[in-house]
Amino acid sequence: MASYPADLYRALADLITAGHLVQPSAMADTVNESLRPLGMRCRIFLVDLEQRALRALPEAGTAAPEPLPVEDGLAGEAFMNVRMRRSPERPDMLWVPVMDGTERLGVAELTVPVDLPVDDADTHAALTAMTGLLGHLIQAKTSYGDTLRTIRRSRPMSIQGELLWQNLPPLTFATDNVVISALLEPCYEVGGDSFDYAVDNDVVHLGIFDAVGHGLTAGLTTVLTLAAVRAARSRGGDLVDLALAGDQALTSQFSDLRYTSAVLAELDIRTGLLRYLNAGHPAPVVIRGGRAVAYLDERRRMPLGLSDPQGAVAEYQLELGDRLLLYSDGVTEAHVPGGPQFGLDRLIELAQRNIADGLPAPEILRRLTRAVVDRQNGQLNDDATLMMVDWTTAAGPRILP
Amino acid sequence: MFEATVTKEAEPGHRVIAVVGDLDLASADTLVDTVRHMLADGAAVDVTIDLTGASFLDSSGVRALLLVHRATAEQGGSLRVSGARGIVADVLRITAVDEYLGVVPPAKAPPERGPSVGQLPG
Repeated sequence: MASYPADLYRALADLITAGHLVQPSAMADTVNESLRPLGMRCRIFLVDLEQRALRALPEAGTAAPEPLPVEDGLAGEAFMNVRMRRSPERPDMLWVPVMDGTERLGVAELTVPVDLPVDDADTHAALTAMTGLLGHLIQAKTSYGDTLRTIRRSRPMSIQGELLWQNLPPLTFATDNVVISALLEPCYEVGGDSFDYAVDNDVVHLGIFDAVGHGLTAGLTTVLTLAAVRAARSRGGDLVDLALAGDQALTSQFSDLRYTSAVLAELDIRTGLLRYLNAGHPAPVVIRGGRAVAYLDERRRMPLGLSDPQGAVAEYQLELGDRLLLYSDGVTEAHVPGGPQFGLDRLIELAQRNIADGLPAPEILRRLTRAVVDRQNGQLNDDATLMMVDWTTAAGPRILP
Repeated sequence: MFEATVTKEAEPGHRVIAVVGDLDLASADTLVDTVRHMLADGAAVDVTIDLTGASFLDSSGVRALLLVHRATAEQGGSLRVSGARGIVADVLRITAVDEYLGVVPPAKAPPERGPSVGQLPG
């Protein structure tokens, strides 16, 4: 009688139309209005910035449920592994990852009719399409209000955090040939670290930045560097031009030797050729078959802002399946007073263990970052940034639901 | 903990500043102020920063050394940085400021290398 896939797609089309005139705080209600004719109900949870808890979108007339832990329970499992989960006690209850493309935004708790053939391939595809649309809608609506931004915060955001998060690209991007994932801590008080990427015409542009000092001044320095490098890149500049643009922007705005260490790189995802310029930054690591096979520190120059004419572009040929790990010193130097530093060896070993477990790239970074934060008992006194680039042939299945 | 002790050298206008402890965000200004006062007094133009006793160096500490370098250059003088070892030498090498700052390796121990540099055999 009921024709679920067709009905689901119709609800999906309704939602696209209804979505145009919805304020961000009414997203969840609008979704449920579209689902009601199918006898379905949806509760949307977004992951917080530190990726520890899933927080429910507000719904009219209902109290918000408690946040759900990422590392415990079905909701968290669906989020971590990017897989649909069905409650063993409640066959009418599903947990579905909510994705903006390959970016993990959260999970949806779906209450479905008991006769919904969830294991049927067409129904499964329709459900995945629906939560995929949800992810796109949530991302699109985020810019229009504060609700969808603040729901993802477990505490107030600092000024430098506001400045930085508005300027960062999404945390995950993938094509068939490459997966890029990044994470940054401490999310709410982040100062001088930032990262950037852009993928166009089979070239991945990468950047990792660490501005001197802490707090708002470091935040201003890093955002200025980011903007200068992006502007030069959009003008078609090569890596040396990008570095010079960083130098010029920083020396024109600060007279007191504020600098930003950086690695700027371009990866050709057809050939695997990586070109990079290391400006006083810890050397990115190439991981192959569980081992570090290269540290990218050739032809170094001083950090951006110090106008070093010596820096030059170096090259490294990646092999298919290689992972490039970029990091800031806040990762390797994380420690409690008197305790040992987290260290590069530990970082590589942990990365390798998680890669071997077949986890999706954003989940690997979440676990690495968690380990770094735990090393400092949850209190980072320097920014820690991790970025992983996976040059691969089969990116999709591992990071899509 | 941080101390910056100034000693006179035999050559006129040369001072050595021995740094002990952590040269970081908390102590960077102290070092820069010490050098600026010295230069303002006309007591010195050539400065050696001795990092033998330095146990930690962060980006703010590197920036302090760069500011000292600029201050001495503006007086027609020079800066040398000596005695850096262990993680302090690593930071100077990674930041690639060692040549610019006139970093000289410690007198006895050879300069330490990081875990590994450049491309390893695959």
